[in-house]
This record gives sequence, structure tokens and C-alpha cells, in this order.
Amino acid sequence: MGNAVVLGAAGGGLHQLFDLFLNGVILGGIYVLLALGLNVILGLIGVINFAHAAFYMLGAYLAFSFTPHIGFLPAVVAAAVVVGILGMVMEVSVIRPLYSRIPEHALLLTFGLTLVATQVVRAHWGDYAKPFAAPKFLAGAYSLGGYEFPKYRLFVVAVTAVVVVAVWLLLNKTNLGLVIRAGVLDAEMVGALGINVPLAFTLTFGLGSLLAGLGGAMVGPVNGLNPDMANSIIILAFVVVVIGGLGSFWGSVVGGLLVGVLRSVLVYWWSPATELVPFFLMAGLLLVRPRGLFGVEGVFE
Amino acid sequence: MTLPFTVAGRRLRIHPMALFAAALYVFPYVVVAGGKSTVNASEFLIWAVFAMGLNLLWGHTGDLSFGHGMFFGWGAYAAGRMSRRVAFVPLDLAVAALVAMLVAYPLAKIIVRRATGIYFAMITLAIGEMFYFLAIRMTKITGGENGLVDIRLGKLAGIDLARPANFYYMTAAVAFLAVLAAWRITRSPFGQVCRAIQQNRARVPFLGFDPVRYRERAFVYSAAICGVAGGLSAFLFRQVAPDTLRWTTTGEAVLITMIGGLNSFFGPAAGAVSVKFLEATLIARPERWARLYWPGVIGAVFAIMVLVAPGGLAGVAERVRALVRNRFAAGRGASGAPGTPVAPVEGTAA
Repeated sequence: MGNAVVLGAAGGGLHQLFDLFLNGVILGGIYVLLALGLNVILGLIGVINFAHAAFYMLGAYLAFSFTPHIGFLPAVVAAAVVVGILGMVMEVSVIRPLYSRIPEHALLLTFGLTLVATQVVRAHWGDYAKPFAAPKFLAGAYSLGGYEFPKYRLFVVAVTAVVVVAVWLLLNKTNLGLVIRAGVLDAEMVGALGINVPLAFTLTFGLGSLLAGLGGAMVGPVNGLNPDMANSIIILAFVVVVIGGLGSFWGSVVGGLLVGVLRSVLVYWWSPATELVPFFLMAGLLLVRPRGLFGVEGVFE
Repeated sequence: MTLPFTVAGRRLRIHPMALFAAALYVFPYVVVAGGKSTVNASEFLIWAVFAMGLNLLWGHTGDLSFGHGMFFGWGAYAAGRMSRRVAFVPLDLAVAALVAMLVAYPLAKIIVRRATGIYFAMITLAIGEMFYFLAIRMTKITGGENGLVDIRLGKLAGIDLARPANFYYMTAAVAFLAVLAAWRITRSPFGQVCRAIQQNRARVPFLGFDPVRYRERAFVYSAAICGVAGGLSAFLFRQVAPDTLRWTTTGEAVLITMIGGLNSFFGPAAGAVSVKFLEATLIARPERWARLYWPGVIGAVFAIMVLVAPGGLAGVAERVRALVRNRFAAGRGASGAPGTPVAPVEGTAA
């Protein structure tokens, strides 16, 4: 995904660095949404959802198709909701029968579904990259003390921040969150208390997919759309999850922002290393902290 | 394991590797009869070796690697580069295996101890992708985005390998040796420990074996076989594209291995032939959707297999065989093959 946009308009030195940093935070915000969804499903249900990036891509294309009919903001919400529902349908129909098997089977199944989804996107929306312009009210930039703040980028950052806080509250401060976290520890016992654990898992899967769809819907105006966008981002999402730590909420947030800023700054300072540095970061971290930055002991060990 | 055959009332035992050799001999005739070319036969066979190499790790120790494309790819680059200096295929393939092992050894040391299960799959996936980007950057060695060209095939004992039939039988000979090596490895005490690790990792240390050391060795052996397969593919296509290293290549090998049947020695080879044959057939179809969107069809077949037949084609064959055997045994009373479980059927049970 070597198409991070570098803003050329700003002058040298500090301004340039600031632009790169802001750009990295946007990119990082998208990674955070993607990694958070992946990690919520992984940490809570123990399923690694390879189709996560396919949901991200579907979110982007659905938002693209909805926008002319209902406007940009409703289209983003609608795309995220549709993808969330798709995630729940997938969980109920094909993932649920695999809970009793080894976790690799769910990974393989979702890998097969990703191949199908990619071809569906190619067949329906075409093989070539599509531009997706930001809506008029989010075009342009605010100017403050000589620094430029493009409106669309601020919008992405704001949405990401709100969503991260909302997901944290949902998982930690509501009954649903309690049920999900308890269900992870001992699904049988929670079920014995009269709680519908499968429903909680389905909702979790829906939540994770919704986050992927939202990330995809918002990335369109930044990077454009193409049918390879799922293939190129899934690895980065995995890398972010591994760097942050499996099953760690804040790990995904910090890891996503870290990788986003690193990539954005490297594009300008040392572009051949842009693609490689996240992997080296992951490999290095693996040597000294095998569980990642905020990894929890006992997850998948 | 040998297969019992009855000829004129006497039981003959044929070694499976002998059957495999016979299958290798007739395979191109079958492929050509199926409407494909001899080049296709070589391609199918290379994928069969790749999948069996992957299975040596995944099917035996249970470690699912999503990064074996890097060994296939670096094997291809190594053989391709070497052929420019010395156009002697056996030497170039040996170099391919060596390079794959040299890449695999430090990785095994880093990854195997720290990761298992889906974590192992994620890490190998990321490391594989890292090598893909490295390959693109190392333009002097790999040719960068354009890939490696000018691969020299040369002659082998006076035989012109550029002819598809000659190339196929060279590939078949290499495949036979690689598969024989895998056969010996899986039947050795080492292979037994690997199987034990797959069945119950926690109990293996109780027997005095360190699972990490066995998994590391299996990782390196499996990389070597995948490297040889990569080297063969470099000679078949006379070029190596960096995409060979991408996770999509590994994904295809994983898909093939699973469809063929994990836990089965020859299953992955059957998977390679079926999937690649289906692929070649779909690409050649006149319908637009089949030509353009065949990966989706294969993905759907794969997803259904994971769901309903996780044992793959080998598992299905086993089930059918058991069914037929039971019917047969039921019809003839209790005189089935010795040692086979006979389902009790009303009226015939002793």
C-alpha cells in the first residue's frame, strides 16, 4: 500500500515533519480501526478472521456505491452497518460450527472466503483503481498558526478517537462486555448461568466486522479503491496486532498509530524502507517481547 | 506401510513409493488425455512437491506456516542465479535447497520457540511478506519488480531439457527423490516424534523429547523441499517474478495441501493435481466469469471443504473405502481383510 499521500504544499523543516506526522496519524487511525476489530475477535472469540480485510474492502466499496444516493456520512454509517451484519451472518452460518475444532480451521475457512470476496468485488466494481473524492464539506483545510489541518484528516482522527473510546466503554462498562469477557474465560459456566453466550459471540463478531467496514469506508477518500486493497492490508493488520500484543485493546491502538506514523515519516525520509520497517519492528519486538508491547500472558500459549 | 494385492491367490506387497514412481511415469499421458499439455503436467508436479514439502511441517508437527512461499521463492531465485554461472540442473537445485535451508534455519530459531497455532501462522505470514519486499528491494540479485530472467537450462547428460517431455521426466526424477526423502523422514524415529507433537504437544516432553528442537528441524527440512520445488519452477517458466514470494503463493499451497488432505502422505499431491487441473480448466473456459474469476471458485471449493471435509480428498477417500469395505465384509460374512474393523450388521454378526 505504498500510496500514502504526502502533502507537498507546506514549507520545509518543522512544517514538513508536522504534515508527515499528521498524515501518519490518519493512516494510523485506519490501522487502529482494522487491528482493533481483528484483535477484538481474536482476543475474545479466539478466531483469527482472515476475511477481516475483505470486510474492510467491502466497507470501502459499499460507501462508494451508497454515497451518490444518500450522501457521504450516511453512506459511511450504512456501509459499516451492512458489513457488521455480514460479519454476524458469517459467524452464525460458517464460523460457529468450527468452534469445536482447532483454531486453524477458522483461519483457513475465512481465507477461502476472502478469495471469493475479492473476486466478487472485481466482478461487480471492476478491476481497476477507483478514485473516491471526499465530500465538499470535508474538503479544504483549517489554518492555525501557520499549520494546515485538512478537514478530512481531522474527521478521520475524530471518528477513530470516538470509536476507540466507545468500544472500550462497551467492552468494559456494559453488561454485554461483561458477558463477552466472562464467556471467553469459561463459556460453559456463563451459559449455565442462563446467559446466551453464542449470541454474545455473534455480536462480538459483528462489532469487529463493523470496525473493519468503518475503516474501509473512511479510507476511500484518502487512498482510493482497488480490488487488491484487502490483500495488501491484511498483513499490515496482522503486524499491528502482533506488535501491540494478541488480545490487547490498547496494544492495537498504540501499534496502529506507531506503524502509521512510522510509515508516513519513512515515505519522505527513507522511502525504500517504508514497506520493510513495520516487519523489522515486529521481528525485533518478537525477540525481546514475544507477546508484543501490551500482550497478555496466557493468550494462545 | 505397504499395500496388499492379491494375484492368483497370493498376496503381493507393493511399496507405495514404487506405485508413486509408476504414477509419475503415466501422469503426463493422463494430463494430455485430459486436454492439457506436458508443460501443465510439469507445473502440476512442481506444485505437488511444494505442497508435500509444506505438509512435512504442517501435516506432521501441526505448525501451519503461511510463509513457505518465501522458501519456494528464494529457491527459485537461487537456482535461477546459479544457472547463469553453471547451467547444470542438479547442482542448481541443490543450491536452491541449501539456500532455502539457510534462510529457514535462523527463522526457525526465532519463530518456533516463541509461537504456535494461529500465532505461528500470523508470524510466518508477516515474515514471508517481509522477504517479498526484500526481494523487490534487492534489485541486483533478484531483478526487482521485473523479476529474474535469462535462466539457463542447459543439457543434462546430452538430453535437451528444453523439450517438454524431457523436462517433465527430469522434474519427475527430482520429485521422486524429494518425496523419497520426505518418506524416509516421516518414517524415521524423528518423524514419529513429530507426529506425537502434532497429537499432543504437552505430553511429548514427558517422554524426554524437546518439541521445539523437533519442530525446528521439521521447519528446515520442509523449507528445503519447498526450495527444490521453487528451483524447478524457475526452470519451467525460465523466469522468477517477485510475486512468487508473496503470501498469495503460500496461500495457494496451503489451500492445495488442505484440499488434498493433511495427515496423509500423498494427499497433498492429489490436492495439487486436482486444484491445478481445475484452475487450468477454468482459465481455458470460454465463459468470461470462469476465465476472470476462477480464484473465487477455488476459494469457495476450499471453504466448503474446510467446513464439511477437513480431512480433504484423502479423508473422503478413506471414508469411501471404509464404507465399501464394510458393505463388502457384511455381504461375505466376517471374512474381510484381517485387522479391519467390521461393522456389526444384523443377521451376519458371528
